[in-house]
Amino acid sequence: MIHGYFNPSGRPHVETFIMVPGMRTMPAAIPLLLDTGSDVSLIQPATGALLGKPTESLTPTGSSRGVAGTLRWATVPAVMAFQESTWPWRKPRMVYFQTNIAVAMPDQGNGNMPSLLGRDIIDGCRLFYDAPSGRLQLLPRQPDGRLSL
Amino acid sequence: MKEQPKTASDITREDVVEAIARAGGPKAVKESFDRLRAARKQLETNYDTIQKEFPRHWLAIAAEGIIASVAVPAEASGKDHREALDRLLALMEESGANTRGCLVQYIDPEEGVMIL
Repeated sequence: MIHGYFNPSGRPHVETFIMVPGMRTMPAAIPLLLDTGSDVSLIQPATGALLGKPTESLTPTGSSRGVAGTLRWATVPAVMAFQESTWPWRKPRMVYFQTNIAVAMPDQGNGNMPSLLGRDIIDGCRLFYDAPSGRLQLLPRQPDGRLSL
Repeated sequence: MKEQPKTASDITREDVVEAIARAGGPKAVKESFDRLRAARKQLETNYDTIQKEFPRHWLAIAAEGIIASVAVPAEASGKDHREALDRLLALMEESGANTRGCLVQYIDPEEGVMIL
């Protein structure tokens, strides 16, 4: 079971550890905004900066229009890992998914936009969303793997 | 030289283990999650103060508390945000704090906190 949380503004977030194999980026633990309206997970420039600015070596491969305007992005293969709660007497472990994430180019207007956890991951889980009680849980159905921490 | 994965399905378990090793190993990954959670607690505990004292600021919050902040103009452009972020990252490095598992966020006066 992956536990998410609602931030002080009430937005649902899940903490993930993003790794981009083959790129000289730093794997990092970051919170992503849970977004069932997003087809894929998206890394915005501010988060990308924490990963070591992956956009510097990327060429945009697509663009999409959203409420905030047009966004140019590049797709990169990545691993998104989540801390999984198990029984207290068991070693902590993480569950991971292999996915093609979109990395947004630093364009006008997206400098302060949140990065998104999209349906590429959400669709692989059962989602329990109960904002009034502060419960946000994802139960992975078919993850690509698990590792002990 | 090993070929880089072109799509997600090319990623092997070895790639994952290698990436974790690059991050310092499984213990470091766990610590990153722990530190991120502690940083979030710092934010939640001090939310009212942060909102009041840091409107239109980029903040870096570590498990120990705020380690860097950079203000942006009221009508900030994308370029202003990028420059502020670059300064924030430079300040984070200068602080010498452990930035793995650090919250970077923008405090929007209208929308509240934006965790990035």
